[in-house]
Amino acid sequence: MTEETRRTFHEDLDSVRDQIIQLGASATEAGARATQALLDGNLVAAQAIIDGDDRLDAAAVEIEENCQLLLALQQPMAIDLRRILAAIWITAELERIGDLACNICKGTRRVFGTEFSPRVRGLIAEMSDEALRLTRLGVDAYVDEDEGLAAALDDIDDRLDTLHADFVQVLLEHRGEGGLDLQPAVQLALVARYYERIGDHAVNIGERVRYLVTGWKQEHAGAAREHERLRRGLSEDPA
Amino acid sequence: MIWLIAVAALAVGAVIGLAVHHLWVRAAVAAADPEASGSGSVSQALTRSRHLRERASSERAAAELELRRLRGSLDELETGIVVCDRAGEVVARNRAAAVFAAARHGEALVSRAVTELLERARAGEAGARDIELATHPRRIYHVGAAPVVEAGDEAGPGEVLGAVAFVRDVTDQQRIDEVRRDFVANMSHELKTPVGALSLLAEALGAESAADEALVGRIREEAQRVARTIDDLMALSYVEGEPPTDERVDVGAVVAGAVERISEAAGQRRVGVRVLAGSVSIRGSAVQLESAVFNLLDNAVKFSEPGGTVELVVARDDGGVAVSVQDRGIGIPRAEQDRIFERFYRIDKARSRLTGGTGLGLAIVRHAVLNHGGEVEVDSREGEGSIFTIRLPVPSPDAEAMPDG
Repeated sequence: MTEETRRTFHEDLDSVRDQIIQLGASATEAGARATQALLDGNLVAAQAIIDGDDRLDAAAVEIEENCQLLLALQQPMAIDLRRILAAIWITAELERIGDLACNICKGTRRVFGTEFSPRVRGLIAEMSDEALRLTRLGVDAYVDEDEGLAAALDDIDDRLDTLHADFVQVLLEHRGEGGLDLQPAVQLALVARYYERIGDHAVNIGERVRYLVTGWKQEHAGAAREHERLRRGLSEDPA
Repeated sequence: MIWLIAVAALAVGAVIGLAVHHLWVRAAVAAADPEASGSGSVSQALTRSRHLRERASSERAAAELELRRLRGSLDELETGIVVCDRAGEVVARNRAAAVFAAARHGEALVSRAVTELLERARAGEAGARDIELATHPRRIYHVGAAPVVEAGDEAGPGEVLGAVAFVRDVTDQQRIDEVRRDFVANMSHELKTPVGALSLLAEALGAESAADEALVGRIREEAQRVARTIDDLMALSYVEGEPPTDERVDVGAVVAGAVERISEAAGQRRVGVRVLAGSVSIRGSAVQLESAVFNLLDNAVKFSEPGGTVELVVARDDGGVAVSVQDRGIGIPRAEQDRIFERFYRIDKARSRLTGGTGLGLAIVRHAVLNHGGEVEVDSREGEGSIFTIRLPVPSPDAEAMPDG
């Protein structure tokens, strides 16, 4: 690659990064608005978020195509190659987070008219904040290529898992006291699961960033064990 | 012998060379400074060219200083400013705008809006939009962009140099507006019930003497006046708070509705209302527009002399429709004309008490018209009367076929 093409290649990489930042911002905004719509029982706002998801999808497709173009035309190597692969994967994770915001909106419709207790409202708001905070940290780790932060996301996610468990517990208690019908209780449990999934996608972003920086993937550990077994199997083979 | 010829040849060559060099320098200096041509020695020419260089470099330094001062001034602004050239390349960005360019989270959406609006502004289309961020802390940004065009002269419009975008944080402003609107709406509701009761109680009150009857009459009248003010406050908070619905509205029908509502009061004051209206369709809210036209008619009738006539004309003008209401009443002093659209502004407080005005009518008109992307103007002379004109845009046939496009 000449200096000139490399310069434009890195500019192209920067613009892919900016697009991912904007996709992340759109996804977290959609998540925050979905939570607000759920707590307010605002069906109009919920529908607007569902309609707005097309824009996220279009942005994700555009990023992917840009990445494919870069792969085909520049044939990058080493960390440049991993940057593009990570970008494709992270885009997919963010796009899924947007989809989960839509799922929360659909849940808003299904629980419409249900009075939430203060405890339930508080936990929903907290799960939302936590899930979106994780997503933002994931984007931070990606932009800074910060392997340490990326690796920490899994542990940070524990708090969201705890909140999720607490929430389900509270739902069961409310059911026991006769304060919540079965149908909305089930829907709320599903909504809680969506927040938890958003957290998981944020953790995945962290994994992609670790791959970007070091070339290491979590699956490599398992693959190494399998190779080791095969090697031993072959050496123990009498033939 | 041969070496003598060679030396002579070298000497001649040197002289010619020097002469050519001299001529070349003179020509060069003449090209650089027309005044120098035909006079001065080589050293003078060199001095002059050094002066020219120094002048150019000091001018350059002054221009750079000017630019730095401008940039420094822009950096002090709270409004973010981004300037791009004709090709769309960002050439300047002040400190407030740099925050958005470097943003990683919600604010990155502001940066995207800037890019999109600059793109359109470069094509000559100014635009603006609000970006509301739901993530904590909630923020609302107003982003706008416009083409940068050199000031034109008689020869024609100036050249398009690029585009400029601005970003303003309007969170506090919007919050204050919201609080004010809510307060007015809530207070009006709270006041309406007791005032209604007062009015009814006054009706029920028996009058034993003529003095009692006069007092009861006054109570009833004052209660009705407060009720009208509350109604207008609620109408105003409605047009301020609600975006107009996007329905097809026949201006002719709107006018007919408003005329119908005013006919009783006009009859009482013996004021005639003449209407000249065709059928024009626009998009918006019939309720808000009727309220606007009614308030203009209400004023016109109030300020007309008994036996006078109010004229209402609906006409197409370029790209829009104009609804004008003309009276031959007392008119509005020129100095007051700028302020009459403010809420509770009254020119003559004593007279307003007499006519039962609330001081809110024209504020309602202005808000309703602004909501529809239109404008309202007044042409009035004291002692001769006033013409109020509402201008509303009419959607082009294409836009009507595709309301979303």
